[in-house]
Amino acid sequence: MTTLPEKVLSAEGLTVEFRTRGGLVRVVDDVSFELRAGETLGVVGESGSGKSVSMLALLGLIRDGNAVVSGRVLFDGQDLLALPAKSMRDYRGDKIAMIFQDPMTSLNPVYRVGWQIAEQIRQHRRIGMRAARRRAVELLEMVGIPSPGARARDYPHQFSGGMRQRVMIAMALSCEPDVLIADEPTTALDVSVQAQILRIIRDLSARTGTSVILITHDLGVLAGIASRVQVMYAGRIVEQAPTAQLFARPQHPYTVGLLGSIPRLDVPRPARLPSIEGLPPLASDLGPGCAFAPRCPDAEAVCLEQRPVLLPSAQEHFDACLLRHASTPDEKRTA
Amino acid sequence: MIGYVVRRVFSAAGVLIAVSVLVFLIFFKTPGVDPARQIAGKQATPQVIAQIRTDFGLDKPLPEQYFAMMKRLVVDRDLVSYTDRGPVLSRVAKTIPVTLSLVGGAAVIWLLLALGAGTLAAVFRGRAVDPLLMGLGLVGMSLPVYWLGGVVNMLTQGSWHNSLFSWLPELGYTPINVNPLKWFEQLLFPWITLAIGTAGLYARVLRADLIEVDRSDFVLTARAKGLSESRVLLRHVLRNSLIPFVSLFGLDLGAMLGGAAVLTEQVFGLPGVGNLTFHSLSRFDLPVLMAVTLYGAFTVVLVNLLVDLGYAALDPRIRVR
Amino acid sequence: MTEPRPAQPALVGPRAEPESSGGPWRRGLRALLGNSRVMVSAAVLAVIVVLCLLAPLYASHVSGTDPFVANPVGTTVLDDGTVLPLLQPAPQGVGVLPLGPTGEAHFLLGADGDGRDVAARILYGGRNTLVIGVLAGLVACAGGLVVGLIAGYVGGAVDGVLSRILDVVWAFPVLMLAISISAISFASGISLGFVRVSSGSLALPVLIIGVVYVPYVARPVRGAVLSVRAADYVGAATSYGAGHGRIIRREILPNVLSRVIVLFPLMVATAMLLESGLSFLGIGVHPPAASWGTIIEDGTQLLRNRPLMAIVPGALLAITVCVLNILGDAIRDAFDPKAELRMRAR
Repeated sequence: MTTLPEKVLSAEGLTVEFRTRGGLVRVVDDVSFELRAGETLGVVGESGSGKSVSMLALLGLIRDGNAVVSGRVLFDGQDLLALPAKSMRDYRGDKIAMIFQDPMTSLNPVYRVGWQIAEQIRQHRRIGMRAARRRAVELLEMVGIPSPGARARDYPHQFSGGMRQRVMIAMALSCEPDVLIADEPTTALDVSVQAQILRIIRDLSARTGTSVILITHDLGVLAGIASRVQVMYAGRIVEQAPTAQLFARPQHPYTVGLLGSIPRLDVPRPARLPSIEGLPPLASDLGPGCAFAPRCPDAEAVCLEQRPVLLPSAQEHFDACLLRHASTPDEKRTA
Repeated sequence: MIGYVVRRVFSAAGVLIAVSVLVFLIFFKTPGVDPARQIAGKQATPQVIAQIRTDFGLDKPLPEQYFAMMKRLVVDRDLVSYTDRGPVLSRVAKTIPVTLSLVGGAAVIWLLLALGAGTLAAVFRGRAVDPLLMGLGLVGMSLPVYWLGGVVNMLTQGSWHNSLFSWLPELGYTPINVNPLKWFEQLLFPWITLAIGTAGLYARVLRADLIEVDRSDFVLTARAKGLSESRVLLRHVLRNSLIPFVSLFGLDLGAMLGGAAVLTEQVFGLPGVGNLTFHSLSRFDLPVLMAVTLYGAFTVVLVNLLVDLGYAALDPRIRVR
Repeated sequence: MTEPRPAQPALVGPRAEPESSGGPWRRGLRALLGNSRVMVSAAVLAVIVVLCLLAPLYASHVSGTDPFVANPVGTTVLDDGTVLPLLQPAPQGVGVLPLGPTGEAHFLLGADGDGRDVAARILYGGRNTLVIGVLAGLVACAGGLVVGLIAGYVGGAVDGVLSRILDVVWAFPVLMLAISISAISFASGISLGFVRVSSGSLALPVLIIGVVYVPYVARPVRGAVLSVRAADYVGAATSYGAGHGRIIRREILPNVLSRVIVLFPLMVATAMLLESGLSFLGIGVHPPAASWGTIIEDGTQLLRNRPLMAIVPGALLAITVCVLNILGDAIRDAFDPKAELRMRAR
């Protein structure tokens, strides 16, 4: 057993609630996880499962006046959520960078891309405009944009979607961050471009030692790139495991369902691709028990009443299913 | 770029010709209106009306009249008024600086007010300042400008003239090169009056645009870059919101310079373009009307051209080719 | 919620809408009824409309005098037989002024320069302003609908010509266009073949104001028609042989009409402002008929000594336009947030 690499970022009890007419609605519910140096952590879940919101909360980017964020986000020995806005800004873009789903709308249409990258560098480094622009060209070259010197003077609308996402990656990596959060970076792109973008993220993070949190709704994306995966459902983490182990031995019925609905080449095709019955619940009408219980094929009466907690089932493998930990919740099962 | 400007100039010339024909047709072809009778006045005998008709050539075929008038207006530049035979061009030229002073000063005020109020309301949306400023904007938009001017006059020239506003000169216009201080003092309240309604509309439009842009993805990117709130607001949100704002401004500025500030000019006794248009209309003075309308249409077209060029500078997606 | 751009779920269909009861019209109506600002505005508007529209039923009885008869002799006899002096010495000692506000039912706001009851005239004037505003709004909306439908549906050369005309009128300041036509036709009226609109008629400003705003409705209508025509279901209707009338009636109108209806309150507000501006210039409503604009114009002459005469109708006009704007914005947001209206009379 090797010692684990040190953790760079961790969330403890991260919770996001929104004040609505119908009362407080909890969108992210007591989420705790840690990110270790150099690893790529996959976060998977359906839309509305709270995966994007939790990451935005982590960076202090939720600006809705009705949002209430609680819990702790530890980075560099600091609780980021307790920091004043100004100090928080010094981490954003410098130590922790983020890229978003839709590269077509994520760049400001009225500025040249080189300027937009240089703007971020100059926000965090004492460096002249000229040097920042030179650095921007280097970064564009690094993400594989042809003739980067000329392209730096182009506007976003002159780039294709894949090229824009490369620009976003170049911008995110411009200050050599410790953590890169990529929120569905390939969802809006053509299938043929998706693999290229993922490869760039993987290669560059490996080269710079940047830890990556890769958010996706598509488990298949994570297979070749993530070292660990955490599955979210209705604002809660339901399972967390090393990638290979999650694919091989999923514990939570929701994960099992997710894996079942990925078409596979190596097994005979079933007549109909299995899917999970029903719809994900609205955050506003969650019951006291397991959020997945109403759709769970294995659910029992207790699932609707008792809230499960994340418990280990094997080395590095945690899940939140009452039935699997039913008899003795404290007992560690061996795989 | 050059091709674009040439095309714009041609289309501008087309608009000017269309407007001059439109004015001509309104004058001669408004159904049921006989221009000679109108010029002659209510008590005129048929002989007088017939006399006027031949004197002014109103009995000639319309195309002939049109081309004769356009030739005297544009080529010979010696067109004279129907009513007093005075030269038309110098009369129009005299009104231009008045309207330019009025609308220019008002535009500065309404832009500053709208930028300030719209931005404040958007930044503090949901708090008390937001509905307060937007409510004021709505009230400003709803006030009839001539009525507001009348009330302002009542206070500054009447009720409080002997106390608070004893420094204020009488209504009217003094050229800036004659007496800059008096020019400023006489125009101060017309500026404010004209600016209030437009500022209200612009502030509301700007606030809505700012809030919409603030929700866009690239602003989230800007925040994720760690930029300060003021930089996000000024360089990213406001910069993009200015694009629709500028096109609105162009339409209004052109119209007002072309005479649409007539009500304000009327209330404050300013002999501007709008005033001249109105008076030449009520006296059926076609030559003056034609000259002043063409000038008005020209400013509208010119300002719109400038705005389109400015638009291209603001929004790289619309590059002129 | 703030989950930016929810991704398509991998496993399941679209999530059920939380508030799916009732159609879009029903939901919009519910949003309006639940908005206290809208309800207050509607109540204010209702009070003004009722007071003004019913003026002929009660105004001269309350004031005890006919607000359209000038009293040049300086006294008037009220309905109850009282003889009322209508002239007062000016406070500065030079000349005379009309009777000031009495605070009683007759001549509540005093008399105007012709010795007529100002308060009663304001009610009648409001009636004209409201009627002209609504009718001109209707003319503009109906005219814009027809022109926009023709341009958008027929297309081709017809669309080209109509669009060019709309463009030229659009570039021409609407206030100047209205002033031009009004000034030219004010004294003699307009005759359109067999129909003659005489100069004193309210139909004249209605027609002029309505017509100059046609492009402001026609352009968005044309755009909407074009986008509806491009939709598949219209193509489908054409392919199974539906006639033009049927396509316009069944497929296009329902989609375009909502946009026009939603613009109507804002149109009325704008038309009222333009009418009052024209009347203020003396080329709108023909005396002795009144509108808020003509009363403000009369009052402006007496502003120094009898300020209420101009201030009250102006304030009423501003309040009416204001609540119409609030209602118009709310209706637009509730039913068709994409609709936009660019126009104003300055």
